[in-house]
Amino acid sequence: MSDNKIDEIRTIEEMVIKYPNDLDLGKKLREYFVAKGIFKKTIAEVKENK
Amino acid sequence: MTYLDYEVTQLPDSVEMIFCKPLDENGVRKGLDEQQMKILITLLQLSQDKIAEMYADIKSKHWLLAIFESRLDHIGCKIDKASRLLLSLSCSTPGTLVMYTYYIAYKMKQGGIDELSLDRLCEDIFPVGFFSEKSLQEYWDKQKVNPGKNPGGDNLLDYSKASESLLTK
Repeated sequence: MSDNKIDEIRTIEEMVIKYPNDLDLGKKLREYFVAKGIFKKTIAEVKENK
Repeated sequence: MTYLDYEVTQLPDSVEMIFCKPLDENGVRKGLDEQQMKILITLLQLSQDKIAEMYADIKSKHWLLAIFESRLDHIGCKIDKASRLLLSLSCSTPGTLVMYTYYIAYKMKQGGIDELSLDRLCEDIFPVGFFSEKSLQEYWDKQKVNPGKNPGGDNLLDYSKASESLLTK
């Protein structure tokens, strides 16, 4: 990722040019949730609360 | 592809009338996939503190989430962090993220919603799911502008003047 300030981003085209490796946010979020084991934690918490 | 005339970028309700309204009326929605559904359930169950912690972590790693936030702020659209995360799951390009930003602002204006929670996002804005990739591509093409020699690029959604009717502040 770039260390440019967010305020510098004005257009969609600029986003694509400045962050070519950080574009598919949906995919990255899915990976984040899986990597963090969020699902397992939540299931455990639900069971704990019952 | 047909391009819009540059003049529409100078009208205050172009984004609302040329992009949001047709997308709302004709855009094809599809239900959440299994992973999105699991994440939705997770987000509904986590405490606000945990969501805030997760959100800050993701935002520090992925600039697009910060840019999404910046666009929402720009048009005065207030939606909670859980909603931003759920929406971002359906965004495979910066263009998608921006399209959803304006569409949500439109629906919030239409429904008189000042602040959007995850519950209302699911119940009022996307009761049958998010837009299909095909629909998003179709409406992405429809908002393209021929800028001619004018500065500002070829996306109607990038012109501040064109979305003034959606501003809430």
